[in-house]
Amino acid sequence: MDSSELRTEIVRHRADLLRIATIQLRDPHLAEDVVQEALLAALQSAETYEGRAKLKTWLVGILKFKVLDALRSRARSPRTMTDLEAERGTTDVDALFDETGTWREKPREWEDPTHGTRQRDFDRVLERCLEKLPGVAAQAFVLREVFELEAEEVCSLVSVTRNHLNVLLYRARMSLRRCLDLHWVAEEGATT
Amino acid sequence: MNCRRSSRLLSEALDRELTPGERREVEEHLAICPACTRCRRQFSALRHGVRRVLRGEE
Repeated sequence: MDSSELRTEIVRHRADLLRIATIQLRDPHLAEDVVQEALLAALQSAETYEGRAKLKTWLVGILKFKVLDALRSRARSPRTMTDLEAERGTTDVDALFDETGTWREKPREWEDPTHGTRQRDFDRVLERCLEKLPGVAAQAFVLREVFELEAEEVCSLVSVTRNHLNVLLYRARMSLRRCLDLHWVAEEGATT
Repeated sequence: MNCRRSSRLLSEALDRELTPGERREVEEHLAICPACTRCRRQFSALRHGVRRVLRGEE
């Protein structure tokens, strides 16, 4: 890929980067600014891209630092439990279990497909499920799972205690797995 | 150990090392609970899937 093609490819990933930044920052204007900065930084250092990682992975690495800078510079007061309760959003985890703590509706059997059309279908459903995650749970989840920050670092960036972070990540994972239980398995069933 | 606590610890195990006691409790529960075993597989599939979808990894 020559330099001009690479620059075109970099700009082509703008929407992907904007999606991640918006989940993180929950402020579309700030997300636009951060993505713009990340794209500029990528274009300025395009010659350092060696093609070992996928281009999107390299760009997400650049975006990560821009997002973290934005989060750090945005002074936040510690969240209260009321804020966290407001984040219950998509899945009420307690409702998934009966009074003895046993699943009311058992998790279904599905795995992450490794290739092909099934993987593309799975990714499409997962993307839709990610969009439904409520704000701070999505933010904590992406910082941990996509940017791979240590839990303590995530706590400091989203201003929650470690225990609250555990709750947020648990809710995020339970919401996503439930969403895939409902939509991925259902779509699979519809096509097989 | 019930399924609610087991699923909570399966999530936490992705973010911290469980204590030996917690690990033993979870393993004992998983041995008799196919639903929680599927939940563990789902959490793991989510981690791979999300990294692929948002980060472009294979």
